[in-house]
Amino acid sequence: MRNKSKDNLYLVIIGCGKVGANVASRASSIGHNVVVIDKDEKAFENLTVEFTGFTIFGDATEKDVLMEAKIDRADYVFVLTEDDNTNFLISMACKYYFAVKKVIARVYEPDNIQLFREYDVEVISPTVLAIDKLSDFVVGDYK
Amino acid sequence: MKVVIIGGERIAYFLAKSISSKGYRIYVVNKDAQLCEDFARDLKAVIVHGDASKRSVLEQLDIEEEDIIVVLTNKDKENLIITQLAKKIFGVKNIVTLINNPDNIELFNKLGISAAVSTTTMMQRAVENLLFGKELEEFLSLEEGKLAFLKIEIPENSKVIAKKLKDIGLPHDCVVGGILRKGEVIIPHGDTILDIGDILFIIAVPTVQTEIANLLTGEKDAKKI
Repeated sequence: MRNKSKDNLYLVIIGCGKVGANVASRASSIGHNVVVIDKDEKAFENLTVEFTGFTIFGDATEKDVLMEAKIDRADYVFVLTEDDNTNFLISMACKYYFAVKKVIARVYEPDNIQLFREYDVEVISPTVLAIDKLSDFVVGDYK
Repeated sequence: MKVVIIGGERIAYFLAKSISSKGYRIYVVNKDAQLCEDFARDLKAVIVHGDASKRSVLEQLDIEEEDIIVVLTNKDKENLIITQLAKKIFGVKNIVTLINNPDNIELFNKLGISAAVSTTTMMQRAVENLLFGKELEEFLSLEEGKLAFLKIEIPENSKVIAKKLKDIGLPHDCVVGGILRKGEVIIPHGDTILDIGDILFIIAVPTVQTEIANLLTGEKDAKKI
């Protein structure tokens, strides 16, 4: 049985780029159960030696692949592909097919953030983060 | 009220052509610049070159709630985000979309897009009907194909003729709900004996469809497939 105590989470990370691979490696190194999905086999090279979880080579926009990852049991799903539209489809499949409670998606296009939030997907936008951070340097009314 | 056709090549063209000939206002949106030029030359429609999965592009279309939106790209992820932007941000009620992966039909339905057309599913039905031959016909499928209603006729040389229903070894995941024999309806039980030309109405899960077909239409001496 999978241990579901709060300090031992089951994480599914979709997209094994620099962000995905680093989060996966770090989470794995502190004892969480991690599954990483990517449709490019080479992407798994981004994982560090600390990673002891599982990798699934497949397209997460396909229901079967999400099922293989036992995504319905995930405490958190991080949807981190480089394409907003892909991330939206995967997030919706997680929510509506597998009833995942916590879906966190990367959204590049600020225009898309509202839509993700409408469907109760938590959003991390590198674009907005950069804009906010840089705006801190700018004195005045830029927001 | 206007009809907005997003994505697609030939389908978009012929759809736009037939709808505009009935006097409706048409907008066609496509990512492909060359295609847009062709459309602009050949269609009576407003042509917009751009990626409709971007909110800024949709904003240029002056979309109103009463408009009809038809989404035809060959990528479900684009169709999904376009339909949801149209629905949630622009409040469009009438949206029709193409679906490429049949697994996604249910997802679109759950997200409020009931007019989701899957050409894959249609082709699949057509091919399956050919595969199973004329004897088997799926005449209804429920819950996105999780339950199938089959109609199957017992051919002349079937090995189940003159056998009791309970003895022919039908799979567990099916029920014979009725038999049509020479125009008479029989509600069968285990002791009902099958005859040539009986038309069986069977409720089954789709995975046993082939097994049922092979069992009922298999010839007397044919080896098990």
